[in-house]
Amino acid sequence: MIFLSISFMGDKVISIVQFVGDRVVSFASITFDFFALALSSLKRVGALRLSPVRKVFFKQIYFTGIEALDKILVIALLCGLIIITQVVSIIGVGNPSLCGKILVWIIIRELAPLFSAILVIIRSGTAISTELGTMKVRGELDSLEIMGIDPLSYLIMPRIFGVSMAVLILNLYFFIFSVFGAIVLTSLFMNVPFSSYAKGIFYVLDLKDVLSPLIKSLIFGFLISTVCCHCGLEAEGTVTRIPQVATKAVVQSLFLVLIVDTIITASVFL
Amino acid sequence: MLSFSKVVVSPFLKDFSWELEKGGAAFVVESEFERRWFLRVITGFIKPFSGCIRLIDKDISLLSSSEIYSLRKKIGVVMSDGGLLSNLKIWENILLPLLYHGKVDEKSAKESLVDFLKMFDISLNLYSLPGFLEVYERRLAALIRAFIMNPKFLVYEGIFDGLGYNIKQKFIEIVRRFHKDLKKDYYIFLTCDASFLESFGIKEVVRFGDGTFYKRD
Repeated sequence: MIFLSISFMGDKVISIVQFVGDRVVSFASITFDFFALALSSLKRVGALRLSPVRKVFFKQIYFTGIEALDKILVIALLCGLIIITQVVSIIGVGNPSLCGKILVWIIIRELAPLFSAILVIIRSGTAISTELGTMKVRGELDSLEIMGIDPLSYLIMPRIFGVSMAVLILNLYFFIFSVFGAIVLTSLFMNVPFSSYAKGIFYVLDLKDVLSPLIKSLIFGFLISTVCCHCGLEAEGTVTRIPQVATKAVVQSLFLVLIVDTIITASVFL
Repeated sequence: MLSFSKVVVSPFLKDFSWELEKGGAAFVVESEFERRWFLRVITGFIKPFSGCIRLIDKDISLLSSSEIYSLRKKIGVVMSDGGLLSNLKIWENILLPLLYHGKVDEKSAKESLVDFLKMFDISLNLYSLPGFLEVYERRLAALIRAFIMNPKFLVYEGIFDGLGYNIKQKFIEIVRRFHKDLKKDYYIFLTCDASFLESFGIKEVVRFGDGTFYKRD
């Protein structure tokens, strides 16, 4: 009886170890593939001198960045309004310097890069993984290779660099418009002079507060595009794989962005 | 120009030897799968288990990936589905390899394309996406794309297969004119339908039978 229990426990332990081991190996394999793709893309940046590759790069900036500007504008203004309303309700209107500090902490350091990344994941992440997945399933990647065109240089690298630039641009727009929206609201409806709040914000803004979100947004853009390209290239066989890889791309991108955001914030500001 | 020397590639090539020095040849197969498989062997996607495949004096199995890309620039391949990118217009598809390999700028390339179409009296909707075109039109676009690169060797994968009689005859005439006017002497057809071979005067025919390529006519 005791022997049976020990044997049963042993089997359970082995299956748990196997399960964890499989997950670790799978995670390591995915991470390795991801870094291999990222590195391969960085090595091919010279292909931007070719006009078809530059076209793909500029198209990507347009679709990911320029076409999302109106949406980021609205989200930014609304975020700025919501945050300043809450801040003023907590600390009142008599301390523009503290209000400015909170706006810098919340919007410029955190919300701007994060919301820009999330918007890009929703809009462009799905589009990129779906497009690449469709091309893979239809054999269009093989057609490119048959023409002597490296798909990594023509399709992947310009998308990665294009999305990274786009997230950077969207981040800049986000924090300009959300801060601007917040200041305008307080000056129009709370009788606080525009210059007091503006001074309060610029007084607390330092180089770390400007550079850190810009670097974050570049990293987020790079991660999102690499993950979405990687997932798109995994589609094989049938068209039913395409929506599966698109979903996987969105979920993986979101998790990665949040994890990296936590790491960067903790290392820079703690 | 293309030679096989005791090549073994699972599952269809078993100790296969064959050579094409000049002119055209045909590999007649039984299905689209075999046709596409053989194309992948010739273009270096599938490496031989043993033996040697030489294309334009290069042993395919020994080439690195950048050397393979370099070799493929010199081969013109016309696939049965056209092999076009669905998110590019027809003119962008046709000019893509020319612009990517840096041979000309976009303005000159567009002018050359228009002149090429006028020279052969070909009408094609250049501003359409491939999804809106008939199979024959997609193959025609792929044909123009291949010829515009001035390749040393041409591979036609099922380009006449599945076409109606009149369209097929029209397409055969276009390909014959291209060969004659642009002086293309080295080509192979991979096909399931051998009825057009006489139109090209092809005498070198390898057939697929009993699960392998081995019969010669």
